[in-house]
Amino acid sequence: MNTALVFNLTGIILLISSLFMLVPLFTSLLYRGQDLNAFFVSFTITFFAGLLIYFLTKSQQRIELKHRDGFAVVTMSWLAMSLFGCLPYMLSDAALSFTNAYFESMAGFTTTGASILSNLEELPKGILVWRSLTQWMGGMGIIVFSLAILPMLGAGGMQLFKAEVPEIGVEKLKPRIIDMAKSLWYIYAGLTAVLMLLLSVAGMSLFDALCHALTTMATGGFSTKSLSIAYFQSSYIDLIITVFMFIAGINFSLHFYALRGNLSRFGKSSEFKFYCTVAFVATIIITVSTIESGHYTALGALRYASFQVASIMTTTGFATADYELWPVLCQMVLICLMFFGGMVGSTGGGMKQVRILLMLKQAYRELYHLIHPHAVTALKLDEKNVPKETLGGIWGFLFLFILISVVATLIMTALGVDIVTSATSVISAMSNVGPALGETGPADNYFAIPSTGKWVLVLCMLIGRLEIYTVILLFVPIFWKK
Amino acid sequence: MGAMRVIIVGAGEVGFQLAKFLSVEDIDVVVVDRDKEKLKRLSANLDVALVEGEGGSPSILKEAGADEADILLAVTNMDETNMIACLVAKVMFQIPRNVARIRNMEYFSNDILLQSLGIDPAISPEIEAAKAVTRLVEVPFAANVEDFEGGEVRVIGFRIPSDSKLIGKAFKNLNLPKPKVLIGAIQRGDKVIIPSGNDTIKKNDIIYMPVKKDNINHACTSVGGVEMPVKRVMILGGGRIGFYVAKTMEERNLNVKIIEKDVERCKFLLKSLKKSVILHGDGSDQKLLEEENINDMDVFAAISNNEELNIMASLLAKSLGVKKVITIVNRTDFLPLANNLGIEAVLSPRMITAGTIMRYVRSGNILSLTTVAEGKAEIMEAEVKDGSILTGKTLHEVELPKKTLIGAIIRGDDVIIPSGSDRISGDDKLILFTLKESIKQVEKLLQ
Repeated sequence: MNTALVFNLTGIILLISSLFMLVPLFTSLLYRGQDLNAFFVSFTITFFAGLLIYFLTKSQQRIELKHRDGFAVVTMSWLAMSLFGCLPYMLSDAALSFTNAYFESMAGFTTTGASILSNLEELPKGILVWRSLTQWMGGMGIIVFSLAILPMLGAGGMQLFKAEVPEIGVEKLKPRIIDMAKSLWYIYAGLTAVLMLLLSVAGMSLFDALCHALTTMATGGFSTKSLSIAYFQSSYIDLIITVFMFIAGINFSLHFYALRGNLSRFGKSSEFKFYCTVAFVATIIITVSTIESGHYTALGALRYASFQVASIMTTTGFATADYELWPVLCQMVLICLMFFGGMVGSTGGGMKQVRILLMLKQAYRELYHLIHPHAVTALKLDEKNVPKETLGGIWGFLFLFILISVVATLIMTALGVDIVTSATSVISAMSNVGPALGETGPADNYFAIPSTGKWVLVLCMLIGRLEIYTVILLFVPIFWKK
Repeated sequence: MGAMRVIIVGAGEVGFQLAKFLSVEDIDVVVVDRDKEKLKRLSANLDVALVEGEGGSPSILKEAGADEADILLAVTNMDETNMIACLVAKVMFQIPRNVARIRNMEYFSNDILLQSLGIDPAISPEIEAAKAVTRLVEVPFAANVEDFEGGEVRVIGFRIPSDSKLIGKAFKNLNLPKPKVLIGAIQRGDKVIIPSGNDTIKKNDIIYMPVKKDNINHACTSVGGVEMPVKRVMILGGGRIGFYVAKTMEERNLNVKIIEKDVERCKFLLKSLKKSVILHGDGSDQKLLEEENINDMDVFAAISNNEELNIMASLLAKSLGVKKVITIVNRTDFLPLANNLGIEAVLSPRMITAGTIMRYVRSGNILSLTTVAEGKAEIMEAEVKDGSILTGKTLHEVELPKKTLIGAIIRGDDVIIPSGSDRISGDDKLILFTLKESIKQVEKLLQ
């Protein structure tokens, strides 16, 4: 591994993220908030730390980035971003401890949206914007953003892109990575702007509309209100956010083609059809079940069920209702949805729909072979054969996902956390959802989890966001062997 | 209008090199190949788009964005695939320029056929390599010779021997004898330097100088090269390249000996060549070489298809006292290694082909172009149009991009090795040395 180069690029990415801190800084200026100082200090520290790392490790020669270095750069950058991103939480009136601040910061960047904070309404506006903005940066991925504005990364950029965005099902939309990264961010920023407009028309203040637009498109789930979306008591807002969460969970290459007038791609994508089917079935089950149990009228049930399904499946984690009061069946359906997650190439987390779909197809194929031992079969996705290596990769992913979840849950229970909270909060963190069940349900927060438990969850969030392999590789001895 | 889009059909060595040259510039590159493994190699190394499939298939080309493409380069090792790809590109997608790599001489020399297939131009790697070998035989002290203006102006690459007087001297103190010789670029290992006054010359550097054809001998002695008339040439390998080289040498009345290990091929050579000595045997056989008086040969050219054999035989010939040894290696990753073995000239047909094709990708006023050191630098001949911002300025006044140098001004039949006070006028042609990173600015300047 080329340590100097890895640090150098991490320095650059830190510099770029420091510029995002100017947004809360100006917000604070605008609202004459108490947190102006905190942001000024945080920005200065982050900016100069990035600059220092960059210049200390700058080399005269142009060295090419090996794919091994790519993984290290991405993981390091995310860790460093979260580290510096927690400064505002510690320095401002929120005055969180380091553990709590890092948890909040990581929950932001990984778009998990699990929070330590209560009484959000009392927090300064700058902090609220910063929380939302970290999610927005993490949603499309800060590496992809850096690629879009830095042509110098060149071919090495491909290595970074691959380490932040999983390869399966993601096609190269443009010949050059810089153009592709640009397209993705244009679409992302464009959709965010449209959503912000719609939300403010629907009655949110401009400030709330901005914050919620940022966290919805990122499928993040941070809100400016303790009650989350339920605070607004508006079916319009519920509807708009439901639709946009659903959009954010769709593969962005489909949006890319749709904008070019090619809508047929939606119909051709079997992952998209699967995604819709899963959402539809889950909504129906919960609607029927909540009507049955007498929670809601038919229309109300549909409204709350569809919102909650979109929120959990796309791993956003907004709440309009406390689903812990719903029948247990509904809660189980939601837990299953956490595993499914969004589509590949979306801002959503989880295992991703296409992986589940391919595993289902593979399972069917195994059964088919038992009946027809001599049959020649191929696993197809959108009329293309799926190579064996891809399937192997998915099996490995699935196994690691479960293994890590089990180990993390074990540690959580060892710390004395009850089993429902332990298991669901770990799954929620791995899938970057946010709310879980038990102590960490939609109406509660993560403040009461023991420190060690918070660090376990921090690691789970990062592993989940970078789709396991990128982070886990750094803990495997072969990675460090020359 | 966005960036230029180039479709490369064929992800073999030539396609890979082209993709590598182009992708680091502001050009959209799409590579098509039916071999997944080859595409994988590209995706791991280069920032290009890849399409898996037959290069001649209309649907595949459409997927590769042929609708918006400016150039199609068909460089698979199958003539037929390349021809169909060009035809489809021309007829169905109206791509303005389609370059094809063609091996078969029957196709290659049939202009009507090529024209109706939409191929312009056809490039044969074997012929390009043979031309390069021939040029090196003509200018025996050179490690590299590139022709401009149909060979009237040449850029000569000269390898600095270990006992050269120039070693360690800074450029401003070189004091080369008159008429002036200008050094436009230095190739050192796998790097290229566009020299400034304070750079020094080191052992084993290759220096590049633009020279008028009549002045080559003078240039040779100025940099300490030894002039030697070439009379006898020994060629290892009677394949296509060997055959073309031998034929050209015969036309120039040189004594040629060809060693070929395949009897049938020997018979063909015997039939097709007039007076060359055809030897059947193994080129790395020391006995055979000595028997044929290798130490009396002026040039030994190891240009068979077997690169390991070429390198071994070249080292053997070197140790037996041949002054000038030319070697062909196919795998481009061998080039830097082979360059360090003390062999005077090492060529790669695929690299030469990629370099030749590059000149058709360059737009506007660039008449001719050649690449140095795996594309790290380019030497180009460019036309100065009347209204250009360059006209009427002295070289002092022209703001050239960094790492760029005007090596010669061609005015009518004259070749001027310029100094700062020389003035560029309309209708001049310039020989420019430039590093890869400055090419975009150079293109802009020339427009």
